[in-house]
Amino acid sequence: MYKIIQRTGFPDQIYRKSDGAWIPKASDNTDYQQFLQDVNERGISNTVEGPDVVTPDYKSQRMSEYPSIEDQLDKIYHTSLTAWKSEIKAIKDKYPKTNSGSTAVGSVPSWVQEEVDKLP
Amino acid sequence: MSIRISQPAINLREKLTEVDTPPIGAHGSELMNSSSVNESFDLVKAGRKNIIINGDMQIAQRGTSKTGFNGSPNWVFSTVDRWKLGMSGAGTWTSSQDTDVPVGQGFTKSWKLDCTTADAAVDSGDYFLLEQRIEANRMAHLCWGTAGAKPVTLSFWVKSAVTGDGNAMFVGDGFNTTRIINQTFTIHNANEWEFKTMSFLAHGPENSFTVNTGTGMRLWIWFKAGATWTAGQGTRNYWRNNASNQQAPGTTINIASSTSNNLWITGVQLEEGYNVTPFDYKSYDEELRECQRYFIRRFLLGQCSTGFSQSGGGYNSHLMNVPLPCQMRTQPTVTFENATQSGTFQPGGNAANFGTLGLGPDFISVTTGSTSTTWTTQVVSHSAPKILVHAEL
Repeated sequence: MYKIIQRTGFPDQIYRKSDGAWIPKASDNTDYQQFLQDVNERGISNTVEGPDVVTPDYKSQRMSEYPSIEDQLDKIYHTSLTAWKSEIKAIKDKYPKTNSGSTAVGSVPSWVQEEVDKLP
Repeated sequence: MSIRISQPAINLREKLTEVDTPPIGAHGSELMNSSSVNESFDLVKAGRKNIIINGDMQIAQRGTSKTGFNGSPNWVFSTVDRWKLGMSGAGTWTSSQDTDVPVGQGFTKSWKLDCTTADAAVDSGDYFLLEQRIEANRMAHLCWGTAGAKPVTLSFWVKSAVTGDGNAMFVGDGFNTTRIINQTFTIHNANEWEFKTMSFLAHGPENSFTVNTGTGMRLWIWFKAGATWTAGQGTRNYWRNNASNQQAPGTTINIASSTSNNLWITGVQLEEGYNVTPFDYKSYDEELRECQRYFIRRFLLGQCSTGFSQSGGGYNSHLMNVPLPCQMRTQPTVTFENATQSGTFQPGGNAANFGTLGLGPDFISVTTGSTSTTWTTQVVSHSAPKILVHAEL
């Protein structure tokens, strides 16, 4: 059984669960060739699992949207504490504490079937 | 005073005969007749020549002894680098790198296979094979698939507890249609080192041959073969389309017949031409470097992370670049030993959960699994985690 691994900015990888192997999507790699063969013989649904789709928790979401400390201090200095508070509150409201984050399994990317279809 | 000088009589006819037959051997005559440096070099076969890697079994990155090989899984790298073991209906075996070698030949290691569960019956589908896959790039100079194709000569030292005929075969994967050629060899005496050599015909332009990073050919050395593989008739040492029953005709040996059976092999050489020449000895580091194009196993101890890549928009892990000693054949598969070892990182004592992020031509970016934000960098302080990088054929 395999799992597709997706990481921002990098090509997809294939994780082989039986031995924890990280397989690149490279046509000369014999493990990748075997992966395509396995999918071809057993079908996608029986062979490969889609990538994890991670929804970050509220802390991560808020952190990624908060302005930098310098910008926040600048805002307080040039406008007011109230304006700063309202800006921060908008972010907090956007990402409530009820959002504790989740991980779901996404669908298998289309390139898997496309590559299998190219097999002789 | 007169001086009298005398000298023995000269038989001119005898002298002329000596000129016609100078005191040199046949090969010496070939050398003297060579008209260019290229021709002389070709006759001497100087320089690097062994197409086989780790023919003297010096390198065993995966370990020096492992038990329980029974064909499941099959075609596995057992101990010595580059050599695979394939079997079906051939009992169970222990594979090891051994120090039993032919005396006075300069070898220090051999590959030993020790039968721990016998299978005396030779059923039709049974086989026991030693395999090395050869990258097509490594045999480009043979010019196979062209009018200038060169023959090859295989030689090796073998010691077997069982006598009989084995079979050496090439599977030409690099051809547009898989082609095979084989010859038998005889084990004359049990438990004695014997030197085997045989030449194989060149394969001309009847089939095209692709030179790339894929498998050019596989060397198979058979030590058990059932009727499925032996039933074919016809000329040996002849290139033909692959057919199961033509793969091992003439193989009579059954190395799996008893748990008393051991098999050793070393000094495997495959070279261009019809002549066998002395083994192409390499230093340990040279041989290791050639093996590392296909497989690397290295410690991570002492390797530092480059810092934590945050969860929001990052990779939620400390990252690490692992340098490789050479470029590999292709983008490699990566596995880890003790990938989730506790107490791997200092400071902090975090556990590991290694994965790969991306690959460069000679390094691998690794996610360590440590989510510590307390420390800007961490070092692997445990000797257990290792990275295994596979680009085998």
